[in-house]
Amino acid sequence: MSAMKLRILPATLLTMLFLASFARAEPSTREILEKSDRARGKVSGLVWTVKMTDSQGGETREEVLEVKARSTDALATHLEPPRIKGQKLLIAGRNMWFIKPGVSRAVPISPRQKLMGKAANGDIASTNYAGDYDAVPAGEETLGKEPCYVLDLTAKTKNLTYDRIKYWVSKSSGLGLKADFYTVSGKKFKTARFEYGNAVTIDGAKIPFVSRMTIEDEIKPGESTVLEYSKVEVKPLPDSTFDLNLLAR
Amino acid sequence: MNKAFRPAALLTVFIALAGPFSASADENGGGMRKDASLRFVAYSWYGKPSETGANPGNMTLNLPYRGANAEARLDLTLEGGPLLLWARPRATADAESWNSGRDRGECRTETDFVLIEGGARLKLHERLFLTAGRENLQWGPAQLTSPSNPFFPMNTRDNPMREMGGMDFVRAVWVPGGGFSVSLLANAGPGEAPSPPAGWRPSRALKIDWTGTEAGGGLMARSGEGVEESVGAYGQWTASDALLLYGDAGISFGNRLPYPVADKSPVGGRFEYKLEDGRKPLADWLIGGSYTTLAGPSIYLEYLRNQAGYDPGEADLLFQMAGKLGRLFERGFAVPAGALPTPGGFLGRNYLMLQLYDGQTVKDTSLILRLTASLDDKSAAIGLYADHALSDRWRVYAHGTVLTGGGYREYGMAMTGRFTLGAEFSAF
Repeated sequence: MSAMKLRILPATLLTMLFLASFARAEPSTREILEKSDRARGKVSGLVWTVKMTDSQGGETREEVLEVKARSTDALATHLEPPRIKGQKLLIAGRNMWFIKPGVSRAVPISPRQKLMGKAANGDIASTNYAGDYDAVPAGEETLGKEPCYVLDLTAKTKNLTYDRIKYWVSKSSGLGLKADFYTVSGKKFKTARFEYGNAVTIDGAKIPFVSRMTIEDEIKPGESTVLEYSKVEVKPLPDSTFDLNLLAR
Repeated sequence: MNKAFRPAALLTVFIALAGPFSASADENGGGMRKDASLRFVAYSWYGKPSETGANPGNMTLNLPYRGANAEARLDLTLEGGPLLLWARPRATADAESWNSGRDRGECRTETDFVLIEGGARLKLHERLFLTAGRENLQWGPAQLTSPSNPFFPMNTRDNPMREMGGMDFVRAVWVPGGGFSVSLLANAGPGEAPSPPAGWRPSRALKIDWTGTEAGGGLMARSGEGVEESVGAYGQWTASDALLLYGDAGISFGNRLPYPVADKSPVGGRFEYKLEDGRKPLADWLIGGSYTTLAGPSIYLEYLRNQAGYDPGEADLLFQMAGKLGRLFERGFAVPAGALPTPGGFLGRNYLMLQLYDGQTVKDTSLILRLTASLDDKSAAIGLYADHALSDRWRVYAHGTVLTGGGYREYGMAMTGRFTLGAEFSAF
């Protein structure tokens, strides 16, 4: 009997060790955010076309932009409609400028100024939740049929577009599926859902990439803005792409 | 640079030029990128010249009371490999009418074809660029004026529909990284920019810009034969999601601007270039900030110190001289015509600007309400600009300005008000 115990004990210990190592494989909140950020544009450099459709009071309007993004920098150029073709938005960290064609002047604007409808300027740039926010696990929920980690994100500085975000990340794919955005006072003011119909190759691996962001106004139900991302190209972008001295022409 | 032309023929040339560009706009085949846009702008304005004080019977300044303008604006860009070419030709037709002043009852028309900007940029290296051409080089964060910019201090941000012609530059831009950018500029020609009050002369400049995560700024130094040497700096800080704080300053060593001095001549004074020797440093500086509310509108507040401006005594003498000049005209004296010289865009020394920008509250509409006040003589310009998108191609705009202070004050001496109504059609 004691010989049997001696045989069972190592097996039990091995099983426990195996289970423990399995438990350690559970990703940290930072790992979860880094993986989800990557599928939302946090790459070495990115060129994509963003079609924005805003719906308000039964009316819709569309704008199309070409966006070049790298880390915290982004350059958005309006392609459509003709009325605003050539208008540019330059984002360099928290600094932003608006440039109108023909007049060659860059007007500094605050990050709070909206791009279109419910979309903030920051929504067209790459996402860096892992770097910009402190994340706290807030349990797990199923979104549709997708089991998700739920994270409470709090801005590390008060200079970010959103102060607090509740973020749902798929447990199986690691993709961010939904985000609720809150004002400083704690009021939920908009919700965004993300789809990943694009794919890009990074370091030889093909990964899903964001193709659609649907932003719904929580204060004015029925109003929404949809951002559709296409012609995604991952490539390094030089500093000169985001240099004001070379931009206006 | 006014040349007669046939509008229909010019329009044909515009479309012929743009056709190959627009047909392949947004294409990137073969590494070549072409782009074109064509806009038609038309507007009409009505103004009321002041007819008292420094401009009696509108004889001194002889300002028209109404006018109309039609403009075709073509923008072309061609980029292939290391070379970027661009051109912004403009065809304009103007008409102006007088109901007072020396040209009372007259109506004048003028047509023009100008290249307001255009040139070539060559990428010598990923971090080094060489540009030659006509450019409108604007920098600095302020809305009212850019004291650090000796080439284009007036940035025309009060009227988003207005375009300003560029000067001819050759410049090298080095982007070493870390957010820095170093530019060497040679201003080789006056181009189509508004003439500076003291006339144009060639000059060269060194400019260093830096952009960080939450702030940015720049330093500039300019020199040239017969040009007052100047240094300048600007900076801005994104203090929060909603708050921008900024400053812009320039120091010039002397200037070539005329200052009024009293004498016993019929107009009571003459002009002297008393700071021409370049020994006196003159500092112009501006501080300001903007705040964007949660609802969307942004509020701007700026203070400008214009040390090169007239002191209250000089300004008063100028108005008295202007009034006497106008009365001489009224009596038929053959006094040389021409606007009175003033020290650049601002006559006095202290200014305050308060501006409200709202692009959110009214759908498809942008509004700019701006108050610019001279703190020296308490006169002010109050302007409202409204821009409304009717469709993807059409927009209309209106711009009204009321000038207060009366006939012997900076903002009241020329006009009491002006109203502009215009439309823009974007063909492609």
